[in-house]
Amino acid sequence: MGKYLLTRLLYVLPSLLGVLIICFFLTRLSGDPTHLFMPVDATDEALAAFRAKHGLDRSLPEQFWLFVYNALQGDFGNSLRFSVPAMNLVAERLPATLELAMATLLIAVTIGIPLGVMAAYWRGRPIDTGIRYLAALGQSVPTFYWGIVSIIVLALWMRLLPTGGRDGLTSLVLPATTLATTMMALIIRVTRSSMLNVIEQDYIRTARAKGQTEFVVVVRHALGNSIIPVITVIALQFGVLLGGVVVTETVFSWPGVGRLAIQAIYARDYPVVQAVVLFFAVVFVFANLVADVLYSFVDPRVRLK
Amino acid sequence: MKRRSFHALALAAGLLASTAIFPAFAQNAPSDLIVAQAFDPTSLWPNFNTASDEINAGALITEPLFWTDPKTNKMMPVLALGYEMEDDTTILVSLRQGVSFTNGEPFNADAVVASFTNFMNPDVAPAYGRYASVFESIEKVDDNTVRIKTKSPYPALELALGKVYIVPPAYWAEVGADGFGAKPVGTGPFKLEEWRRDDRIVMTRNETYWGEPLKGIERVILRPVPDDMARAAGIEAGEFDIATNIPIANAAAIEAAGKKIVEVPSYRIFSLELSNLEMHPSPMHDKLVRQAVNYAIDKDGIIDGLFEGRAKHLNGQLLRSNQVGYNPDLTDYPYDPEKAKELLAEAGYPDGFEIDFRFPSGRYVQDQEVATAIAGMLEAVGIRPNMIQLEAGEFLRQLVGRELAPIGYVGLGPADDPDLQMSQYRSDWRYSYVSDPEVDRLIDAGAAEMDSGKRAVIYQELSKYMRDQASVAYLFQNVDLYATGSDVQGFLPRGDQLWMLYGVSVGDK
Amino acid sequence: MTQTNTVPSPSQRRGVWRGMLKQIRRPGVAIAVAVVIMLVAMSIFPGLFTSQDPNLQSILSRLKGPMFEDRSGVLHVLGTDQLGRDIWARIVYGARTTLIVSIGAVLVSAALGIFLGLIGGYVGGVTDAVILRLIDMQLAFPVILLVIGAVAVTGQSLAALIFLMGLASWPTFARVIRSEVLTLRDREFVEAARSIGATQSRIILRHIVPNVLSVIMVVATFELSTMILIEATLSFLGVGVQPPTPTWGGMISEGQRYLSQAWTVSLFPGLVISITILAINTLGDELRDLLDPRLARTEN
Repeated sequence: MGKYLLTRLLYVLPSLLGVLIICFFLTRLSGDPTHLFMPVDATDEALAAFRAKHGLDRSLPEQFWLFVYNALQGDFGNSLRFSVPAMNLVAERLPATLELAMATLLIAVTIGIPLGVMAAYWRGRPIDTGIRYLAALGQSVPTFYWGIVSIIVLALWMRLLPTGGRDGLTSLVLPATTLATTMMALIIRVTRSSMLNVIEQDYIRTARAKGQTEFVVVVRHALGNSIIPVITVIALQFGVLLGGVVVTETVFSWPGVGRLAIQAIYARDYPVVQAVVLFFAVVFVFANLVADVLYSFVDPRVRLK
Repeated sequence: MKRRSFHALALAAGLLASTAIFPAFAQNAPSDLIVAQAFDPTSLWPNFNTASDEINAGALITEPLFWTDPKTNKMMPVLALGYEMEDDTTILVSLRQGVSFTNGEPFNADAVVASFTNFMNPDVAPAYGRYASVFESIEKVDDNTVRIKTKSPYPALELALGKVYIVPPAYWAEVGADGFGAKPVGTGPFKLEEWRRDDRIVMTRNETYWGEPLKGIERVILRPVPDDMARAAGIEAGEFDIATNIPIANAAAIEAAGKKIVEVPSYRIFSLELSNLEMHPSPMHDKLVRQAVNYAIDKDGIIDGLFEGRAKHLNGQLLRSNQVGYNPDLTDYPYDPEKAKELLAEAGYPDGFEIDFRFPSGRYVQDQEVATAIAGMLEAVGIRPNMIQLEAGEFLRQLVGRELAPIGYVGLGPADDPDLQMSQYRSDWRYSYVSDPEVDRLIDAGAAEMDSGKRAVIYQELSKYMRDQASVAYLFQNVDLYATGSDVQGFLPRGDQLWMLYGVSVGDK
Repeated sequence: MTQTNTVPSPSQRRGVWRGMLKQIRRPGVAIAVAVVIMLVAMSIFPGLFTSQDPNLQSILSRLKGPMFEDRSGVLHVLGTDQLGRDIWARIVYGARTTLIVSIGAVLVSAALGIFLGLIGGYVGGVTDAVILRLIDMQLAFPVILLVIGAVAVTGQSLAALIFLMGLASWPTFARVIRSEVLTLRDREFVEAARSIGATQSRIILRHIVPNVLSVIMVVATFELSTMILIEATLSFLGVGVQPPTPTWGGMISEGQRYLSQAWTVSLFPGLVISITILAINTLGDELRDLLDPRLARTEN
């Protein structure tokens, strides 16, 4: 398995490099950022000094070469705004984002999978219809709108939770549930359809015939055999989840990487944008790797090779 | 039976998943003053950057020599005791005695000289180059007096003096600008306790503060809350004591919740740039067309409708009513679409024309909305605007790159001085869209005049000339909204969105 | 994704359409079909649904609630927005832009994804490996960041927006198609075509494409909902469709600023988005259930 993981990682490297290269040119194409970091009435000397300090006065090929050369040594440049290594800024905000992502995942999975199982089990019954509409609703409301409406209803009107910030478990509830809505909806759908594929199989009938309890039949046999597509979708959705983090962290003033990302993009803080995108890419790749490993745990038939 | 047990279990699982556990709120002490701003500072050294959210945070710790108090609109000495002019270019500043920085360093002439030297070094304080270039030199006279020389007579001297924040020289030499920005040490009412990036800055009371202690405030906690709706909801729910940049749409609800709304007329003046630069050929080179644009815009509609009265008329000029050089004889172009159509016909455009109209999204208050409303008004007289929405960063790039043409929606908020404001329209200014030798001549005349009365006359003439020329389309002056808790007394920011906590107290309604 | 086992033969496909017709009799499906037909009609003939001009402003009668009658006696059924424009008219006219953007984006991503998926699955080898790396790259690059970054370069034109949104989501198509093709590649009818000397392109177009068409349909319906939401989020972040052109997403993101004053401004476009996505997803679900041969067996 170790060898398998190593091969997978080697496969991933060119993708990560590609992401970085696209990101480099995309950001450079959006124009000279100097004016965004200096006051509009800054002197020409000050502008020139800023450009020289950050290498923005060099030609694009030269900048690119320097960027690749430094990146290969693990140096992603200094933030134009904060004058500290861009990766440090990401690292500082990493715990907050991981906390949010994990809570989101936890909510989405603990609610999504049982609902998906129930919908499949009672296929065509009102409960199935109800759950499916719930899923569609979750998928049809933009994250920012969920966020703002939940702030108004739960934090402002009912005073149940704080409107934002990162201050203990209570402040995690709103951003995590907001972010979890879309993912939960997807998990419901995938669990349902995957369960439907499995539930009429012969071994399920066999299990029932053997007199095992309905719960064991449904959870161990049916769910156990239909979980792989669910894991795949969750891993694939990690990219979407990270995109959602950008909006959610802004709405709930959550001090994470997503907010850093949006600020860096608006400010054209290239090194930080690059660092964030690389970070997102690594998390995504890692999530998919974890999914691969999980396969072999939940389904002994899958052997990593 | 078996099936039923599954039902029960499924139900239990669902319930378990949907009931989160709510621990008690982390309580803030009543003596904590919680301030919600839009952004987290990059540096707590106020001379690092010109963004108001940054200066406001840093200025609780380090202090300037002078501060123009919005309550009186007069310059108030802070670390200085006063100043006198030895001649047109030499200022003698006497300093407060017996003040020390929180690290024990004394505040004296050496500290002031060191701070000015930093300020005047473009490598250290590049953002303030424009003000630094005013000063020629600074020298220590004795421990409590410094002598400052300017390169030439400078009318906005008080303004420039107030920009410099005084730092402890030994500590600064040790940590440098970046180190100081992360861990500032000053003479101010608060000292830094903790800074969690993008989350909160906690400051505790400076027990050895030289001035009046702020009643009822032991700690100040600054929270960056980027979303306007969330910030407004937070103050309404009582989570913050002060919140900046409140959307007008939320003001009524906040007041209804028993909080106070503080309205501050902003220094920011909104107008349409109507470029007559050679590089931007368009009908806007014709004075009649520019006048037509002015007649076409319903200023009352924007101010009373979109801003619910929380904005002010410009009265056909770019200086504000309480400023030197304001011309009381001028009035707004009336809203007269018929007249606009006539002028367009007279200029040779009886059927109107199509033209690019650039505006930002997310930079100014309700920017997209105002721009859309204006586009509708222009359309009604035959000027068909091709709306080009620019994301805030791109907007700023185009503004200073002189690409915001032929029509651009801008709100310019320079420092509070007629010269600094009007020189933005001099033909060689980086983001000027006006090319007019007469405008240039009057701007230069105003900049060289030290006598306040004569200065006023020059600017009044300039304003009248520009109105006749319709050099820009005059829109409105912005009003900044702040919200505070009902027990916060004496909080009043300035029109440039800077605020200090001098005289603020909490408690005793 | 989940449809990896779905391989309908030509005869099964005919069964699908017959099944579809049968399903329409179920009320849920019938409503969904009716909603979709109405949306299409709205975007082609908006004038049939409202007599109001969606861009006509009236600053004095802004943020009015439903059933507001203005001074000239015009009834605004859903009220007016922050510029006094008729919300219902903007929803009706917004249908066109919203659908053009989202369908356009789905078409772009489908074209790109199907092409690369077919090539990758059928040709295999190095080509396939490269395409897989491309998929990884694209999936790892958050859509929102990509579009914001790119819009600064291209400007906020409708075409650029459609292309970028499409570019951001082709991997879903590519992955599904690729795995479908992998299972189809060695099936008897493909083998047969190959043995009688059919060219590669002919095999792909005549034998593979028709068999993955239904899977494409299913993926497309789901991607469509995603695109509607992405467009809304982009508007919220200030890089959506240019005003004054109405889109549902733009209406929600502008309206959310007035939630405390006039909550209807953002609620109605929000409801319309929900209904639309509900309808599209219902059809997508039905399609998927019908396409799965084993499910079909258990039902009949």
